[in-house]
Amino acid sequence: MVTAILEFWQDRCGLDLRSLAVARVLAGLLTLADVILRGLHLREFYTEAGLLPRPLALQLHPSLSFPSLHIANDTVAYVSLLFVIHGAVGVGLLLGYRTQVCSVLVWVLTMSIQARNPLVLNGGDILFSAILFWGMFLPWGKVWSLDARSTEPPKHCKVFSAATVGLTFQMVTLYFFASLHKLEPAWLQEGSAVYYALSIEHFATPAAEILLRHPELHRWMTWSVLGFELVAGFLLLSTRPVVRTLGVFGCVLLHFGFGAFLELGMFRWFPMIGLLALLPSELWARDKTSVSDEMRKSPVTVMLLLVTALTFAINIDSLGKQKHHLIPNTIREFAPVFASWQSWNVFTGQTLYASGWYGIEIRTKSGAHYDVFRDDKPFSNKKPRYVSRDYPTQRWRKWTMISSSLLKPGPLKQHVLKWWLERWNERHPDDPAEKVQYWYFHEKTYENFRDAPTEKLLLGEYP
Amino acid sequence: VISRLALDLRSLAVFRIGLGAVLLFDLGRRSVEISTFLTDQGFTPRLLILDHYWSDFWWCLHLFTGTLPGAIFLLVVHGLLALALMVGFQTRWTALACYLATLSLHNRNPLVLDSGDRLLVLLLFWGLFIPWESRWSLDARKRDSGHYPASNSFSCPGTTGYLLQVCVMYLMAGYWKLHPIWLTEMSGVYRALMLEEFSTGLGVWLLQFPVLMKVLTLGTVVIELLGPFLLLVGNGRMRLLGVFLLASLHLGIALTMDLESFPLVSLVALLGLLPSTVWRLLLGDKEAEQGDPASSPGTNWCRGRIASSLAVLAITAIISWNAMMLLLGNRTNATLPPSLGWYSQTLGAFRLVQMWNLFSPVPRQESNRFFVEALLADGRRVDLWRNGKTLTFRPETLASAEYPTHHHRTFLHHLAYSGHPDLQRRFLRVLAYRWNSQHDDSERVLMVRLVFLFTPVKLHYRDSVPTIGQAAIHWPDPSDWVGPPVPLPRPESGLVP
Repeated sequence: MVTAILEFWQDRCGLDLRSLAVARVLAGLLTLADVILRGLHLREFYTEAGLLPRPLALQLHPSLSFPSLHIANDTVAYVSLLFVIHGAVGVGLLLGYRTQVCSVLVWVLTMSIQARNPLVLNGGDILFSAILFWGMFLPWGKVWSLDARSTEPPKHCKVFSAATVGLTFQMVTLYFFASLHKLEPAWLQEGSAVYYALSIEHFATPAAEILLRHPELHRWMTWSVLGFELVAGFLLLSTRPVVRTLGVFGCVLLHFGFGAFLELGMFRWFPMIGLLALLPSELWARDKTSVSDEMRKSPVTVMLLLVTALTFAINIDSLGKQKHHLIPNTIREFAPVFASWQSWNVFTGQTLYASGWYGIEIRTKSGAHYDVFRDDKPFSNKKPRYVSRDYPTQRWRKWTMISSSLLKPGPLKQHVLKWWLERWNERHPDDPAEKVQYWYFHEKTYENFRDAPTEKLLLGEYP
Repeated sequence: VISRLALDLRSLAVFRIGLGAVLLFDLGRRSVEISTFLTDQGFTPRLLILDHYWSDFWWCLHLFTGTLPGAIFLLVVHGLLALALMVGFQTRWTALACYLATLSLHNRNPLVLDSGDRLLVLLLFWGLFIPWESRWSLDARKRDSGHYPASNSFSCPGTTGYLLQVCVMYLMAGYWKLHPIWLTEMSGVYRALMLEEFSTGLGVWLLQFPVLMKVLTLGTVVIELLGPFLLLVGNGRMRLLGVFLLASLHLGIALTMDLESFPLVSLVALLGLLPSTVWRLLLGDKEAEQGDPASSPGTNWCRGRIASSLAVLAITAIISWNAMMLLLGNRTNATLPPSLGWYSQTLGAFRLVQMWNLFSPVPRQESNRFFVEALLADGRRVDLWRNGKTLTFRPETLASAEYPTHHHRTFLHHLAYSGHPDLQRRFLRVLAYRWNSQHDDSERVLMVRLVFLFTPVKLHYRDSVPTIGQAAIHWPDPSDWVGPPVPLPRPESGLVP
C-alpha cells in the first residue's frame, strides 16, 4: 500500500537532474540580477541614510521574519559588503561551485535582505525565497556544474526526495490557489478582471493601453487566464512528458503575458526557476529513465514534508473561507522562515479597482513648487503620461504603494517626509525647501470606462 | 625564541573545553536576566541602545528580535554552539560562530558587560587562530592521525598571540598599580575590599587584619609583574610556577570578591598555558620534547598565510593599543586623542579594546548601595529593588548579595553614575510597571526614585559611616508628581528616614 502510494508520487514528483541544473543556473542568474537591481538603490532602502533606517524597521515588527544579517550593522560600507558577497555566491550557484554551500548562503542572504526591508517586496520575492529554500535540499549541482567535474556522473538521471515533492507542490500550489482566489465576480460572471488590472496605472505598460482599446478581448482573456490557472497545476503533475512540457511552457507564457502589460519587476522570472525544474526527462534524452529514490526515513525528510503541508494549509487559510485558521498563530509566526506564509491573491479583491498616482511636492523658500518624485520637475496636478514609469525600479513601486498605506501619523511618516526634504536640500543648497507635502491622486476604476473623478488626497506634510 | 613560546596542544584542548564551559556558564547566568536585559520589555530595549549606546562599527545580529521567545531562541542556539565548541565538533566553524554570537550578544546590551565578559570575547577571538581541536575533540577523532601535528608542543602566530594577550593583561594590570597606594601605603587590597558591593563575607572579615592586607597588596603587584615573565621563559617548570602563582591570585580574588565570571574566565585562560611538564606527570607521557616544534610534520591551517597574517595583525594591534595606553595614560585616566578615534573604533568592532586598570591605580573612594524608593497610593514606602520590602536604609544583608547577577551590579552602577536620562527613566518606569501589574490599584506606585547610600572609604574601616546621597533620579519628573513631594531623608537624621 505504502509502496504503491510512493510509486504514484514518484512518477509525478521525481525531477530530472538536468532540469534541476538548468533551474540552478537560472536561480544563480536571478540572484545576481536581483542583487544588482537592489544595489542601484542600496542607500535608500537598506541603510541608516535611507528611507527605512534600522530603528524604524525594528519598530514595524517586534521581530523580523528572519535573523537578518542586514540588520546587524546599518552603514553603507557594511551593507555593500554583504551585497558583494551576495552577488559572489549567486555566481557560485550559477557555476555550480560548492553548490551546497552556495545554496545555503544564497538562501540566508536573500531571506536576510527581505527581512531588512519588507516594504519593497512583492509576491515574486516570496516565491523566490520558497524556491531557494527547496534548493538547499535539491541535488541541483549534480550535473552541468563545476562540482560535477570532480565526481563521477550520477547513475540515475531522476531523483525523488522530500525536496522534489516540496518544490513540485510549491509550483502546483501557486497556480491552483491563484485561481481559487480568483473565483469572484470580476473574474467569473463579469469577466472584467483584465480590464480592471490593465487600468491600474501603477503597473500598466504602454502595451496595456493598446489592449485597453479592445474591450471585446477582455472577457475572453480573463476567462482563459482563470481557466488555465485552474488546470495548470494538474498539467504540471502529469506523467506524460508532452502534457507536462505544455504545462511548463503555458505557465511561462502566462507570466510573460502578464509582464508585457503589467510592470511587475522580476515576478515573471522567479516562477521560471521552479517551472524549468519540472521539465520531464524525455526532453533531454530518449532512453529509459531511472529514478533514484531518496525518500528515506530521516528527520530532514519529515521536516520537509511538514513544511510542504504547512505551505498547503496556510494557502487554504489565505482563502478565508472557513471560520478558524487551520494553522494556529504560534506556528504561523515561524512560517515566513520557510516562505510558507503566502497568499496568492494577486489582482483580486479591492486592489483591482484602485488606481492613481503619487506626487511629492516641495515648496522652496523662493516660493516655487517642485515634484521630487519626478526628477525635481515643477509640481503639477496633471496626470503623467505613463504612471508606471514614475518608478525607477519595482522596489520603488512597491515601497511607494506599501509605505503610503502605512503612512499613518507616526515616526515612519515623519521620517519619510523629512528624508525627501533633506534630499532636496542636499541637491539644491541654493534654494532650500520650506515644506514637503505627500499627495495621492486617487482614481477609482469604474466599469466600462466610465469616467471617474480624481481625488487629491494629502497623505502627509512636514514640517 | 619560537620554541620558548610554544604551547602544549593538550593544554589548548583543555582551554577549548574550559572556554566552552565558561561560555555556557555565562549564558546560564544570562538566562535569569533575559527578560530584563535582552528584550524590549526590559531596562534596555533595542531602540534605546541604538539611540544612545551604539557605535557605527558594531555588529549585532540580536537586534532582529525584541521578544522574549526570540531572545530565548538566540540564547539556546548560542548554548548549542558553546556545547559544540566543548566537544570539538567542526571546531573552526564553531569557534567562529561562538565568537560572532558572543560579539553580537555583547553589542546587544553593552551596559551590563563586566570584565569577565570582556576577557571572554577576547579569548574567543584568539581561539580563531589556535589549533585547539588537535587533541580531545570529535574532529581529531574523525580525522586520521596524520592530519594534526604529532608533536604536542606547538607554536604558530595564533598561539603566540594568545600567550602575549595573557601576559600583556597581567603586565598592564601590574603597571597601573605602580602607585603609592599599592607600593608605600599598601592599602590597595584593603580599599578594594572596602567596596561593599563586591566583597564577600570572607572579604569583609579579612578587613580586620591590617598586616595581612599589606602583604596581599604587595603580593598582588609582585605576582602581576613577575607572572608574565615566568610564562614567557619556556614550556617548562617556570611556566608552571607562573600559572600557579597567577591562578592563586585569581582564587584569592574569587574568595574575597564577588566578580562572578571574571576569575573563572581568567583561570581558563591560564589553563591553556599549562606546560607539557604537567601532562607528562599526569599522563605518564614519555614523549621526548626535542626538536624544533616549528618543523613538526604535517602542515596546519593556522600556519597558513591568511591565518598567520591575521594573527600577526591582531598581535600588532593589541600590543600597540596597550603601549599607547601606557604612553598616553597619566595613570588615572587614559584617553586617546580624537585623531585616533578610528583606531579605537576599529578595535572596538572586534572587541579587542582593553584596559586592565581594574581597582587601580586607586580603587574607588566610596562604596555604594542603591535603593529604589517607591511611594504607593496607600502611603506606604517600599523598596522596589529589594522585591518590594518596606523601605529601610539599613539593610541587613551583605551588600554584594543584593544583586541577582553581576550584570545587575554593572548595569546599576552605570545607570546611577553616568546613565543616559532616557535609560534612568526607563529603569524606574519598568520597575514601577512591574509592581503595578502585580498589585491592586490601591497599592499602585505614585512615584519612584533612586537613592544612593554612600560609604566613603576611610583608612580604618570603623571610621567609614554611610551617608545618604543627594543625587537621586525621579520618575515621574518632579513637576509631574502626584501628591505632595516627600523630602529625602537628611543625612544627620541617621539612616532611618
